[in-house]
Amino acid sequence: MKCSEIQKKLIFYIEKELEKTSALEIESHLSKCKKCNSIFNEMNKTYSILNNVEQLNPNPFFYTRLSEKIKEIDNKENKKIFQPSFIKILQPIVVSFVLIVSVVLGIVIGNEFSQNSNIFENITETEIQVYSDNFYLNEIDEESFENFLINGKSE
Amino acid sequence: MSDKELLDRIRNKDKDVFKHLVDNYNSLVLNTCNSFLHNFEDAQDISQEVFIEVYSSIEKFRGESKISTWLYRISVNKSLNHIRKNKRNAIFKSFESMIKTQKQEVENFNDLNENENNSANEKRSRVLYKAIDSLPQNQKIAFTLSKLESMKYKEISEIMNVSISSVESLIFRAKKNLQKKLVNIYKEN
Repeated sequence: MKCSEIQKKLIFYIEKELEKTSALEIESHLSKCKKCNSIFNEMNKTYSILNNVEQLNPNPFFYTRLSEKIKEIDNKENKKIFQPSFIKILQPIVVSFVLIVSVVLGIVIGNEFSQNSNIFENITETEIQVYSDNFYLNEIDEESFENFLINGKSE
Repeated sequence: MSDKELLDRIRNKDKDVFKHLVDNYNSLVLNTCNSFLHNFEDAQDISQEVFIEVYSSIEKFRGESKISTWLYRISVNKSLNHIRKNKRNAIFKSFESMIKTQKQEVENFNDLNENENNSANEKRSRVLYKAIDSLPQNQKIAFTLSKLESMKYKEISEIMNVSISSVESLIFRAKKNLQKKLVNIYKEN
């Protein structure tokens, strides 16, 4: 077997997953080839680290920290739940209140205005004639239209 | 207490039963996370996240698989997400560090020749874990659970939701890739 072929099977040789004949071939090659042997030794040392991994022990205060964290999250979620429902309820109440107030205000002002306009209903036609005969609507003296055209301005 | 009873009581927010579950499975979760992260502090943080996920998503767990399988699944996913997040942060940190990590495997091995035997094993493990981390995701999961957690192919297939033959093939390919990476590193020296 060539070196490249041997190097493709080293990990399976270390894992003892090869058939007997292949394993024996590799063994005899390694005893002759220095380069492959050094690669095998290094790979064996590196790969065997996986067989000696230490099991970690959990921190004794792990649960205390965890329960604190869960409490924090629960509190945050409670606030989140409260806020939208608060807004959901309060917003329509405020909006409908403002609408009702503005409608009522509009009705009241409208009524007030229509009551004031009724004052003119009591004035008779003759009274209007008297007013229009005796009082000018402005303070400019009365003059004929012909005079106004001849003079160009009022005197 | 059966798994079903345990789950029902946790769903009803029974804190004592939840503590019982944490005490029972804490070691399993911590060591699984550590198998992927190779760092005790990170493994502890992620195991905390795993149990928080268990607590908050217990309603979604239908109890079709064993609790341990469910916990393994969450632990693996959380650990891989953590690695992904760290990688993304590293990319944003600096382009220089990215180039450094590419060269690091070879540099680490160079150091092996220079230092004492005590630290040589530490460096070997760094090289090995780097090579494992660089495997395609499914190969990495199957290989790690098999070699570091000493799990049977059937258990791995349940956790990964694939057939047993797929697990066999994933582990075989993982070993081939790992061998290729390690041999390349040794040859460069």
